[in-house]
Amino acid sequence: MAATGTTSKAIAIPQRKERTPLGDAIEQLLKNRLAVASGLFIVLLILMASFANFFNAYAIQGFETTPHDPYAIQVLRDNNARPGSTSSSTKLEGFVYWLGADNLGRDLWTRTLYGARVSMAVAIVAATVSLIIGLVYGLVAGYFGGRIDDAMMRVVDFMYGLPILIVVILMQVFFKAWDRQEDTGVIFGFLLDMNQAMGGVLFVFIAMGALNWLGMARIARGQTLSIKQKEFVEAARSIGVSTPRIIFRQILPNVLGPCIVFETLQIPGYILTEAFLSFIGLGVDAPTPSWGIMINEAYQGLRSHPHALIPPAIALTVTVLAFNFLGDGLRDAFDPRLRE
Amino acid sequence: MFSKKFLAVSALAVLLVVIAACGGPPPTPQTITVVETVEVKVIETVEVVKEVEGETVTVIETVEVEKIVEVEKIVEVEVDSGNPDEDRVVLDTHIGSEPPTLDPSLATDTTSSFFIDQIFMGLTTFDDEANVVPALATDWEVSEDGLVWTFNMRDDVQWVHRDPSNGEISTVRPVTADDVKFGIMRTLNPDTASDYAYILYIMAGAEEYNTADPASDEFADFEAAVGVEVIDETTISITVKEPAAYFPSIVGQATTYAQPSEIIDLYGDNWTEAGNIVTNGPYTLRDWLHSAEIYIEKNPEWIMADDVQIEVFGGPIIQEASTAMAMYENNELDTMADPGWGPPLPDMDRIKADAQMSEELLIAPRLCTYYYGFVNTKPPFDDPVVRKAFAAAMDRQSLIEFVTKGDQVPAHSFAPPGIYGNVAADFSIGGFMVEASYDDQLAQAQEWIAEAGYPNGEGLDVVLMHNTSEAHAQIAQAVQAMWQEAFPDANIDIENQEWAVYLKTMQPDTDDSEKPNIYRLGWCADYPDANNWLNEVFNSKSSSNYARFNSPEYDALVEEAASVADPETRAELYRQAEQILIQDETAIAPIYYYTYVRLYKPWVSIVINPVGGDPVWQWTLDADAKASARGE
Amino acid sequence: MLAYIIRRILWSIPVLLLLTLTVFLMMRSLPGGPFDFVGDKSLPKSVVENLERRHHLDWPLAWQFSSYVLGDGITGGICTGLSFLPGCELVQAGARIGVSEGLIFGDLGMALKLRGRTVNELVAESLPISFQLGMVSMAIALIIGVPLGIMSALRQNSWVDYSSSFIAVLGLSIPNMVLGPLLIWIFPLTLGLFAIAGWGARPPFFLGFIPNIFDWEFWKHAILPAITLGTAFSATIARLTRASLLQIIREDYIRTARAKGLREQIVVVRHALKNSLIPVITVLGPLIVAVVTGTFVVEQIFGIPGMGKHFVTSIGNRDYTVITSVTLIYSVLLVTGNLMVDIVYGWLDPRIRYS
Repeated sequence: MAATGTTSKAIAIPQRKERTPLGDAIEQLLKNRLAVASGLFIVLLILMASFANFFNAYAIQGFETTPHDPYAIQVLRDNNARPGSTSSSTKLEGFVYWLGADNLGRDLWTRTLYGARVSMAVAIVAATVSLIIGLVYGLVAGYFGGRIDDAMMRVVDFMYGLPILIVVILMQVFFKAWDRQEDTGVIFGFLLDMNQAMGGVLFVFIAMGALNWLGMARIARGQTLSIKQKEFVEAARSIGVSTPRIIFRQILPNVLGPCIVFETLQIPGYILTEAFLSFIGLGVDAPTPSWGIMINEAYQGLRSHPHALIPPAIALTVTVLAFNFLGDGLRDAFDPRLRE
Repeated sequence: MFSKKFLAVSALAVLLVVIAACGGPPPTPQTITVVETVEVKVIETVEVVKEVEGETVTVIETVEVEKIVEVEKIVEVEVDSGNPDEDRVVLDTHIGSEPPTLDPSLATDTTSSFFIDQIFMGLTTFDDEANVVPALATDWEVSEDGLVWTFNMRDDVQWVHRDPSNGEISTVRPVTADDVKFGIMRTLNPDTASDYAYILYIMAGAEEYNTADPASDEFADFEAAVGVEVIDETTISITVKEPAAYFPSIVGQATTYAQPSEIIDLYGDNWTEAGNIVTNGPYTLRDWLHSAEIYIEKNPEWIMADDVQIEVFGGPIIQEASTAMAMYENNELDTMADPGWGPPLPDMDRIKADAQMSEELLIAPRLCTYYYGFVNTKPPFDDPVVRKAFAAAMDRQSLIEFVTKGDQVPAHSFAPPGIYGNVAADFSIGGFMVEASYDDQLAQAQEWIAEAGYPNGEGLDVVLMHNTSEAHAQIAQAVQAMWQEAFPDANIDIENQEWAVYLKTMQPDTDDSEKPNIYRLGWCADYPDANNWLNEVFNSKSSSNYARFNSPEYDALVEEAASVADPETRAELYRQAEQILIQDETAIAPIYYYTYVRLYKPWVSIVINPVGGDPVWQWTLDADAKASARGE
Repeated sequence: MLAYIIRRILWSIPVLLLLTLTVFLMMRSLPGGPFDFVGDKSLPKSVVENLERRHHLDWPLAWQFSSYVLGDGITGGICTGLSFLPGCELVQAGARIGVSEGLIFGDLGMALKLRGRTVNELVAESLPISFQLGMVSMAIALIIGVPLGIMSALRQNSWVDYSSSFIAVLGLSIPNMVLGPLLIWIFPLTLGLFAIAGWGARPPFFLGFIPNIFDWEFWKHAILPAITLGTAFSATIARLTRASLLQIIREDYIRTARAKGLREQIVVVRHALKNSLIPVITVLGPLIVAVVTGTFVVEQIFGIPGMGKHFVTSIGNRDYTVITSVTLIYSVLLVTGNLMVDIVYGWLDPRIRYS
């Protein structure tokens, strides 16, 4: 259906020069200023988070932070310091808390910046896992159809009824148990290191992704169903191209666009889930900061120390907004039916 | 004819009441006008012609005759719009969580226990200094060998029932020794499956009965062998399996409270619902809308009912402390006092800085100790010197001042002040943890860690674990930073586990490889005696001995202390035990003794019980001040 | 149509049963049990054994599941008939303690941590309240979402579109634990409007779940939590309305209507809007279920005695029966919600035929 839309348009306006659907989409996307601004913001955020060692308040103000992680530096006496106040510690003499300090006397600018790492990592990990599983599942179900499709969609129906929370706790529990064992092998060792760097939520979000592919699978399946009836697929099949090859070389590229758009719109959900998990106490391990845990530490003090809530809340809100706008823009751009 | 009209008018009146109750936002009494049919006695004057026999004389007499007629009348009726507490003294509070039960045999948590203590009475109770005082029992004596305790009971305590349809509270029958026996036996019955049954194992035959198979033939024999005997209506004797000087505090536990057997037989599991329950304490249960609200109401038949000023106590169940705090500040609540659910931590600075609220803040000692335990069998913490270094490298004063903010007291012993046999005043035990100057403490810690072979903490890989909770995470992070500063080359990680998993990890029989090096835990008194602390927790046979502390000398001390009667000998034995646990071996690092942090509006005056539920019946409330503060 | 509905319902039964089994097994595989601890303390083995026997947790898993689904009566009957089956001696020993009449007879079992209470009671007291909160939230989501979506679509890529999207998405982007306390601060505390916490309607409810909506007490307590919850869903609704309206105003029949010279307003309201709301209805099913069950944060902050807390606390408590049963209820709601949406969808859009 999507493809017919473009063709009819191309026929209707023959004077336009020849263009690819992708080119169309990009041009359309660039027209949407909000989406562009959101995209730039996200890129900037990822850069800042990646180079947080240089952008944290201690580094910028020229304080040596080794061997501690900058986000863990605390001066208890400075707890809940107001924005713009100076540290009372002799070791941090002259250090200014630009955004204030939290209830353990830790710099909020620094923690919010490092917190972006967890949020971005969560978004990327969960989105990738969900994209891969959902895409493969949907492709297979849609391509083979019939009984296989029926059975696979029953599994999807079944999983819809599963409360994610139980599985998330299960995963937390199991992976933490592994963590306590010494000998874990190369791959696990790597994953465990990653997990530690992310404050122990890596696996939770792998689990999130592994559960949240249902919508993706439906979209991929729907797209596959329509594309597999196209002539070029028929042609490939008739000349004996192998099934995996047809799926991955012919169908996948055509299905990928809508799926990526869909996934972009799922990212805000992952970021908010991290905040929810922090609320129920299953978030990152201290002292690693994440926006969720920072909000959770500060929301009770809204009326006493609002400055501690503002940085993580705004960072989270703006990021979620940005992903939403980017996703909306992408969808508008990729869906020719919605164009002006 | 009459009844039909009457029905119609009543229906109209009811309808009006309903509309009045539902419609208008201000729930004030209203006057409405209704047309009512009433029977009226009318006195009519009738002329009667009397004939006198014999002669026909007609006398006209005027006689008054009573007659009943129906008349329609317009009356003004005052409608009570559904607020029964209009003229009563009501204390509005918030309840921090839904109590899992109000059954004395089954209660385990602070909220349940609080309400049970308001509506039931034990043989004994505790005063505001945690001393055992008589309650249902008037006095008691113990036999020469210390094995048989005889309690004489009051004969004037009544079971009462509140009828939910009209709110009337009426007496059922007096509380007898049989009810006490029934309560104890019900707690011990394995089918009741009481969590705290084990606290009664000191009674002769109790453990055997509680662990017997209810399906077996000998079950009745086990039941009969429990050493609880009713002497007469108001006398009960309890045999213990070994002398236990602390026994009077055991019979102040909810698990030993008198229970009404006929009501429990009648309603089964639902006997504690409002309307079913019968109670014998200063209050009785009025409403329990599950998960939403609880109200208790004064028991007018209670022995000291004349002294009870607050007539209704209760409020909504709100778990979120910051929400409850908002209601408190909005004068919707008179207290912010649910045990364990004081004002939200981030608001403490504001409360202390506020002229009004700092006056309302009440901080009182609580019989709990917060501590970090070391897994004594797991290297490098199998070395007491390492344990001492970590215990010393904690700036408890700063932690309290800047993190916990509840004026807690830095701890250097396991049992806190207020527990019989505590050594909190003796700084020769654990004094190195609470030196006047933290710098000295730190220097000592660094010296010790070097002596143990880890200069500057080099080579130390330490995992500190706590159960998932915001408050524990804050403390762990602060302590981690302190240790990191004291031992810069050490690698110290914090982990947290969900409570059920955490306990599984910490069980003494879990393999050491799955355990952290350091764990956090708090211990609160079940009864205010060091036996509940030193013996029940760190005896090497205890299931709560997560530190895997194993000292035969210590075990001998605490076991002996449990069985001797002389108070001074017991205190000395507990002192020696603390000496080993804290000073010599440093199996754990006590951090602070808890406090209750609560807010009370100025119109409330209170009495606190550090062991269990506060005696609300001794509280008072200035209803006029409350009303004017609310602008009513 | 009827055949279709019946088939769907029949299909859902094995799915629900499988789901129950899955959750049942998942919960059992978590370390720690419901009776390993009480408060901050662990319990002696003897007491744990009493508690487990009381709730049949000493039975083999298969028999526990059988007791949960079929009830003690049938389970006991099976064991009497086939007493050679493994574990039957435990079942027979425990049969004198009744725990569950069985799921198939509508008994969801006994709660393990809330002593003496049945899951049926827990659901009966909390589900209506969650339902009421969910309905008000959904109404707010629609009231905010649909107009914003329409405005966006009619002025695509203009500042109206951007600001409408911005407002709609803003509600979604502010986490509930920030928005809730913020609303409490602004309205009840500062302006004296609405209640801070609690729930205004109390049982009995009309038909078991409908409160007296003419009672100000109800709205006083419902509005703030419903805004907190509803704004998050208004973004989804606005987005769907926008997309579907954008698509429909490009359809031929709209072009025809315009060509006839009908006023733009009439074209939009009479022709485009009605059809563009059909896709919005498809998401209402899952959304309503999400709103009814996914309310933990809002419940916690506003002190509402709803069902969301059972999902969270019963896992931490290892309350096997509660979590299994509330999950089952969640799934039944989801299946019902989706089915109803499909029926309404077919009714609204004559092109759709179920077979």
